[in-house]
Amino acid sequence: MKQIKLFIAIIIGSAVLWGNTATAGEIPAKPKIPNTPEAIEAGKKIYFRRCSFCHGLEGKGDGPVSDQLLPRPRDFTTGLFKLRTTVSGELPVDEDLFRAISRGLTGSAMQPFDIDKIKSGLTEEERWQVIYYIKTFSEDFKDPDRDPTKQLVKVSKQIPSSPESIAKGKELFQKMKCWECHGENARGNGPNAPRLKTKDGKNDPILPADLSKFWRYKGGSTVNDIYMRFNTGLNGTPMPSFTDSLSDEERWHLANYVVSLQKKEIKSGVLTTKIVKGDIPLDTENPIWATAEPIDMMMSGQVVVAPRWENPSVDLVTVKAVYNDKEIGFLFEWSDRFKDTAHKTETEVNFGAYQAALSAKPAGYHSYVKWQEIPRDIGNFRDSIAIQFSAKPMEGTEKPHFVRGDTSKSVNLWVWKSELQEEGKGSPVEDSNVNGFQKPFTPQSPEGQQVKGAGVWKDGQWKVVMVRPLTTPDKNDIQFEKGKFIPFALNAWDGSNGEHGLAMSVSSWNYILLETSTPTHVYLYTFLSMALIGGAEVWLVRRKNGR
Amino acid sequence: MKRFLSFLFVSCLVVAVCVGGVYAYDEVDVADGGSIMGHVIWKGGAVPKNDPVKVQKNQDVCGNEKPSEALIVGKDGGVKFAVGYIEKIEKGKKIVRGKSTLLTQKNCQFAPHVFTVIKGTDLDVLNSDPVLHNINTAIGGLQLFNKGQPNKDTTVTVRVRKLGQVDVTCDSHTHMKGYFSIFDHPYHATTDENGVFTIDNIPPGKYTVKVWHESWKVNGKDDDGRLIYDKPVELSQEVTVPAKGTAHVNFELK
Repeated sequence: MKQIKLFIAIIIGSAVLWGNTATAGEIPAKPKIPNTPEAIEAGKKIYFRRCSFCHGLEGKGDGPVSDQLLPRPRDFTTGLFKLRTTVSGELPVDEDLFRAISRGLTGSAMQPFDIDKIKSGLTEEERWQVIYYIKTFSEDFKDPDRDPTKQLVKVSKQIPSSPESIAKGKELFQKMKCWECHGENARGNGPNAPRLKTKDGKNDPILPADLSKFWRYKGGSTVNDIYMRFNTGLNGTPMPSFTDSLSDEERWHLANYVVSLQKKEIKSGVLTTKIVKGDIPLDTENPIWATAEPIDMMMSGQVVVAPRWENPSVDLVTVKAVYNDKEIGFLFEWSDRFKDTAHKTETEVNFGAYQAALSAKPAGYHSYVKWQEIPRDIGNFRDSIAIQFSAKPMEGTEKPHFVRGDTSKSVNLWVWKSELQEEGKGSPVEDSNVNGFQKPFTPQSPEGQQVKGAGVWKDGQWKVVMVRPLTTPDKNDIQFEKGKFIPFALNAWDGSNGEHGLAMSVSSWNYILLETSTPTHVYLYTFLSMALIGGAEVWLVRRKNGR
Repeated sequence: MKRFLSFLFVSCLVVAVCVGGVYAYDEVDVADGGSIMGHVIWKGGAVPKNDPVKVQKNQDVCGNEKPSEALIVGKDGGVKFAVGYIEKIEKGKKIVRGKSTLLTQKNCQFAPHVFTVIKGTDLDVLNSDPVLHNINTAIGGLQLFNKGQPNKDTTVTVRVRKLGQVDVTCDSHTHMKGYFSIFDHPYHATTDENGVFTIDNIPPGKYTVKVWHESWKVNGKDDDGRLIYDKPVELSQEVTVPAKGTAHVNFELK
């Protein structure tokens, strides 16, 4: 049964992945169908089957799963749309809606519906039909004074990217004060970031984009998409239009600069670890870390067990490791807009209730946490990261369950906690064990605590180092043996996103290899066989890549 | 095809006339026009003193706090920044076009704090501060427009294309707040420091005159120290405008 579930998850996961990487489907291949009562009627049927679960039967954005989604599903009755090619505050043209439906909105639950890219998608005709139906929800579309086709923004010839253009864009980023929201390092952590709210009366927090994370740009990450956002602004958000304050050329330069900020390459694979001379430093800036080969671990919301968490903040952690004859050290780096170093246990949500609800009701969307139920103000929960190993050596490809192990196979977690770091008493890392998601971590006895650590938050980024002896006498500890593929996984929490307990980001199992003098390819075949089976879990996490 | 197109054109025309017909304002020459002089007076006893609003950013330009502009009562009890208007008027004096309304941002404050405009005319928004402002406007929570204005002494011009009561905010400076009302006719005015508004050249007859005020009743403070006010106050009265004369009307806020 477990296998079947996993299989289904993989199928869905890969489908979502394919869809999200799709960039085409923007421009219809066939002529647009006319907006007729028949088309609207056909669109209504499609809407009911495919859209209403999120957007609600009356288009108010209040479908049964809407409470679990952040950003919320669009309320079509308002006539307010973020992604347009029309001037600030105006309605979208049909082609804008077509683009959004075809592509989906990365960084949200809105999937792509282009049937050429995703099997469960809609044909072009069906997409037009549903667009015509969606437009009936708002009176604004009936107002001839507000005809959006007369409000298209002027688009000029693209200025190709060049070092000069990027340099001009960088200057404009300063001069136009983009950093006030998006941050000096464009991690979405500018001085305005904590106070930005939606203006729709719901007062939901709305975070400026972390520009390095192109996979979370809702309107697409190409230079044309970005240029268009400067023209149109994002209706309903604090992102204004800059047509009045930036010349057309300047908007292209700025778009070229933003593209240059995007993360270029995501390095996946085995965490190959070299031996170094001298001590393993706790200092995150020690040059020794620059010599280590990094890998990027993709993280997704923990949706395996209740409470399932669909709104994770940490979606990528860069990991490095080095070792010497005594110790091994890890460096973790990830973007986090706000430094959260307090933790109020009394504010924690009783997640047990979700697990109880799961057994009481059919396992459906009830097992997902509604984000409104978790306090998301700064100051309630800590930022934290944990690296997880199997507590006992495993044979072949066998591994504990990647969410906290299971009853027969316990895991050893090194849990770094920001509030311990802030207090500065003893190590900020707790060496813990757990064997199953129902249980909290149990820190080992004081003499068992052998993981040292240090964490520094700067400019919207955490850097955390953990160091431990290669081997310990403790039977609950991972023991590092050279030349072996040792599975590890990560858990991460962003406090001001309300994350604590099982509401967290997780990675699947990956491998670390402590290099010996033996060339790596000797181990390759062993790894390949492991990877084949282990790959299943990678997929499971990958399904979240686009969110 | 041609027939279809002409049919389409006619039906569009019919729809346009029907839709437009409901609210259309006819511009005519007004003979013997009269005036309304409204007086908005504070009758709520001691004038409540609302705490100043804390400035969260750019204090070097904006200062540390701003006085609350919610209730400004003159020495004779007149209330500034209320909007007086005729509720529905189908025909009357000509709308002055080609003249835009100015909204300034100076020392991180919108000025005027409250004003009125006519749909289809232009609003000029001036930034006199050396800091980033963005003029984020919304009617009932629905964005009207949002323009970034990062540079000093620049003006953004926006054609006002919707009717309604607008909230003006700046996402960069959460203390900033302003209001304007958009009408499809020219019979509206904001009260001066004596609480007086005047509307002139009205065809003689019976009208409903309304007054809008943003409200001074504080319901609490939000995370940023901004005061949360009650719903805006709306008052209404029937008035008969005499030919070439002035109808006086008093509104009491309490």
